[in-house]
Amino acid sequence: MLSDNREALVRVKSFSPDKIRELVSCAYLYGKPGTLGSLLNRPYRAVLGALYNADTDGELSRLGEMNPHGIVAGLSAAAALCGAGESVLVLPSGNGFTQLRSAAEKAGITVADEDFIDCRAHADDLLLHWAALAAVADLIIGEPQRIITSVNSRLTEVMPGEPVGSVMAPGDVKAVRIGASYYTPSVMSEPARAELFAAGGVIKTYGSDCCIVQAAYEQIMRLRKRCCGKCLMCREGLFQFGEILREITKASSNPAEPALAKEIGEALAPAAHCSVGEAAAECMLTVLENFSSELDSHIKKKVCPAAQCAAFSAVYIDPMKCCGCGDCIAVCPEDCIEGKPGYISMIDDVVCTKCGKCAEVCPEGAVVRTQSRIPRLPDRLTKAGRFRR
Amino acid sequence: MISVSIDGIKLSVAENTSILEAALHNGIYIPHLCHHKDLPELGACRLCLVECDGISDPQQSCTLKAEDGMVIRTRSEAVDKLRRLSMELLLAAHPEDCTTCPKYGRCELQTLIQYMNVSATRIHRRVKSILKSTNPLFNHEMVRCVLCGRCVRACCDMRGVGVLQYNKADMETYVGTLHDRLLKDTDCRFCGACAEVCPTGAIQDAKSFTAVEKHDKLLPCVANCPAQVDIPRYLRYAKENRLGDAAAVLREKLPFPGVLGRVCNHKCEEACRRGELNEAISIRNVKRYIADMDKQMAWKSKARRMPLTGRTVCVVGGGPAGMTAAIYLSKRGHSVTLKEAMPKLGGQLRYGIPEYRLPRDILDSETDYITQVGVTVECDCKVACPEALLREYDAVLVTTGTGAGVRLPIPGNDLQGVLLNTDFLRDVSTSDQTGIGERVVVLGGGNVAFDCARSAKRLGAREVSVVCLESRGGMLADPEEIEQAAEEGVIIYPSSSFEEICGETRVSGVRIMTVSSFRFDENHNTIIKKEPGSERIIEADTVIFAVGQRPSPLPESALELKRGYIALIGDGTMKTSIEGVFACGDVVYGTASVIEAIAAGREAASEIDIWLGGDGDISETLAPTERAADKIGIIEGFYGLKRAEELLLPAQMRSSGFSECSGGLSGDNVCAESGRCLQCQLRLQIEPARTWTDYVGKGVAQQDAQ
Ligand code: SF4
Ligand code: SF4
Ligand code: SF4
Ligand code: SF4
Ligand code: SF4
Ligand code: SF4
Ligand code: FES
Repeated sequence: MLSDNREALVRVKSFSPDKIRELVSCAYLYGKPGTLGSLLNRPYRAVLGALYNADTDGELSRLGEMNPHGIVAGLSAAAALCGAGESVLVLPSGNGFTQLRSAAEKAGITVADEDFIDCRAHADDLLLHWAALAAVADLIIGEPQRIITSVNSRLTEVMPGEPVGSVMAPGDVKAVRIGASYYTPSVMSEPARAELFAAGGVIKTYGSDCCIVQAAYEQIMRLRKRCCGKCLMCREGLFQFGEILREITKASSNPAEPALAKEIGEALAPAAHCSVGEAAAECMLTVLENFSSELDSHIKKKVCPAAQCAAFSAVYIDPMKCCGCGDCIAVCPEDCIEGKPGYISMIDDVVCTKCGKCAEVCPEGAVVRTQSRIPRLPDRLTKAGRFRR
Repeated sequence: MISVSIDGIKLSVAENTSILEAALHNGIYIPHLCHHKDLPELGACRLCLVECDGISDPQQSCTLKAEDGMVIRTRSEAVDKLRRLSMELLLAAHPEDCTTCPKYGRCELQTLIQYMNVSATRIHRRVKSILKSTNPLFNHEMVRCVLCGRCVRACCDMRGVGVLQYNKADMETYVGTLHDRLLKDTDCRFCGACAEVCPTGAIQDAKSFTAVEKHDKLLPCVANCPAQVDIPRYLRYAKENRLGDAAAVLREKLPFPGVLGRVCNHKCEEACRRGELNEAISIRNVKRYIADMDKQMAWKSKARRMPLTGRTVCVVGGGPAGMTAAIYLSKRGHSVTLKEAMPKLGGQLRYGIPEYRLPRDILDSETDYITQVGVTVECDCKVACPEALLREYDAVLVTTGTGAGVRLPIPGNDLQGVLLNTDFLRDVSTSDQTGIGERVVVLGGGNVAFDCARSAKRLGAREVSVVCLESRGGMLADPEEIEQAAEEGVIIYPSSSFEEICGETRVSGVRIMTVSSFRFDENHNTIIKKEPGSERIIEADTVIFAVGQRPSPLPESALELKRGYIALIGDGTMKTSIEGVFACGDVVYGTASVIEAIAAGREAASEIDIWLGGDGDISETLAPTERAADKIGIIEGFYGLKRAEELLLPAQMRSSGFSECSGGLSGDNVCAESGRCLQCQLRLQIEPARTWTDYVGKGVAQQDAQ
């Protein structure tokens, strides 16, 4: 599947539609339950081969360079199968995909350069992922069907039914993101199904030093960048998700917010017109479901278990180390460091935003960030080196 | 037909109807925002959710096609909760200041907020960066936009123009134009569809209006036309080169389009919305071209002729009002006799307006229609007592106009060489001796004064001047009249008072003074302030008074008068003090325009028809009635298209004779000029906004707060 399947393109031309149906009806769909055969119960105007709108990683696009003829063969087969008048290959704009483009054109496929698919304009079309098309091509040459994924930026294949974890390196794993959904490590022992691989089809692992709330926030923001803004639920829901997650990391959220996020997530999933809204709902709902204790810890205990959320930490200046150079005072955007040359600098904890700028410039490494108690510090200006515990 | 049940009400609806349409059409309200009857569905707002038996999740009713036997409930706990959530999310991104919003009180969103009783309290609010731009006719205040997408669909799908689109700046989607250009720098057709469908204050008319005012404000050309001619319709036909259909549109309201195409005071152009972009449409000239080209007169076959009623009407006076009334009364089946004092029909059109403005062959060809519809015309027939005609006729209409000039009471006003406008112009028209000399002074500043001056010039007067009270900018004559007269060498003395006509027995000059200001008091007397020491004398051998006209007296009539004009018995009627005698036109309200006379003639015909036992409906459908296409597409550089200039003879050639000054527009120009029209009526074809309050009483009540 990851190497160019020219053979399929040759064969597909000689096969009758019945033969094709027999071979490929069982092809999986990426991010959706069911098989290609289950979609053939209605007529389509055109078949579209594309990456998903919700693909925020862009990893699977490499398939276009690796297996261009397989994608084209899959698209031709799918078009023959559902009797659509037109087949369209959607390429992300920009350079590249020269082989894919020319193979498609040669096969009489329309090529469209589009970074985002307006699903409303394609309501009468059948939309298939490149990976699903490559799998169709494999079926045509009698290969077993595999699921393609990118594990921590490495493109690889997994056999359906094998555990998801079989393609992953062992290590410190607290969470697994598949597409935009966040799972606990137990997902690694689940059998791989193509429907799990929604959005960008990427597997990414997070260690114990990662804050899942922050990770989810960033994922939501990537999706918001892709959102076309037409569906109210997606546009506004993503904004709310972002705000809710951000406030949680900033220690300023209220306990009712997870419930609100859940309400929006559940309303968004059926309202979305494309994978962006679906993926965002999945992202939020899986975090709520699988990482509720991590959320709770942020919201109720005011602790970020990964010690990543600055708002839950304290920043102080170790009086035993500070040399009184005042470099920190100069960079503090909040102007909340008191001191003068030769004296130990002191941070006003109430005003401090924990941005960490001071730590970056301190030549003595005297600025300390901690999640635990702050030790006793000078309560008035004290000459450097004179402080006693 | 399909039968569905909505909230227990059985409905029979056409196939392919959405549940939302079916419900709204049958008076069942389902809240909705992105849906608009005339636009493709977007399915974006989720306010229209309903429960459908057999489907577990609530469904969008705007995209849910009705199927036979469907059972729908418009409310349920789940539906209410989801709708409220949509509304909360929507409001989180909408400013909270209805009271300062120009759309306040006319806003669909506002009524939805009231209906749903929702506020965005538990939600994170945000204020979008303010994008505000002022465009001709519309204001864009995008901070109020809720991205329902109606305007984009209106512009792209309904109009085929596509200048509005979804833009994205960083994370925020907003509606705008390519590269955020102002509308004038895009291919916008200024059709107003976007403003019409916008449910918020985001895209709004620069000048707001109430529902009652809407028609007139959006179609000001028609509203300003006394005869309410369907201007955009004939402009559209002219653009499509369907000149016969265009002529038929004119004929539905006007019996003399060729005349009006030359002499109408074109109030329509003053109001034209195109004028707010650059220059008004040259409506009159397009009309003229259409009328001149209408040799076939195909509309005649569609003209409505009622069977004879056996009733008789006599119209006294063959000017535009009388001729119009006679035509329509005759079409209503009455036997009409038109009595005209002069040798030919036309009134002021023939004996007032000079030939260089209105060639007589045009006039003759259009007045011919009167006899064609069966009116008996009696010329050279002066009527001294209209009510006496009631012995012979069932009704009498007096339209004798204002044929008598006014002589101002100033010293020297009866010297030899002093003429009256009406007499002079009549003599010019009938080619009698006019009695003018070499140096002519016309007193007055209206169109008639310029008719006199320009005629005098054409008759060979060496020096012609126009003297008037008004300042140059305040003169009553049309600007083009003044300009053309000046080009022809007529000298204009604005802001001048007429002190005296000098001379022993013959005129030798006019003494004038410079006026610094003037006004009229409550008795219509002029109060003039003059500059001391500004006296001067304009030498002259002829003076023409052109300071207004009055009705010629009806010597034996007992009709009640009001300051010399025939008195009517009330507003909105044309009945005079004598039962059976009607009056309309200038003889009632003083000198006005030709088009007002025609409008009055139509009204009189209708009223007299009712009085004679008819239904008063004088309307005719002569042109095709098809609905104008909504999709107007793009015309490049539409905003900047310049008004077509009329072909004008050079001043020298003009003043050397009475041939027509203006050649109107050329055929190519007519197409281009008609294509500049914004087709303002298209917007009125769009279904106006309806809100839940329109359904109240049919079981709709505001939802209770949760
Ligand atoms: S789900 Fe989001 S990205 Fe997809 S069409 Fe709707 S608004 Fe656009
Ligand atoms: S962490 Fe940032 S705000 Fe706090 S003291 Fe350092 S520089 Fe200032
Ligand atoms: S657009 Fe409507 S809802 Fe919004 S502020 Fe204006 S009146 Fe209120
Ligand atoms: S073309 Fe019409 S709908 Fe489009 S922006 Fe202009 S006025 Fe609005
Ligand atoms: S401008 Fe008005 S019509 Fe257009 S999207 Fe915004 S709210 Fe809707
Ligand atoms: S643009 Fe056309 S329709 Fe609009 S006011 Fe002018 S003439 Fe009338
Ligand atoms: S009206 Fe149906 S989704 Fe907006």
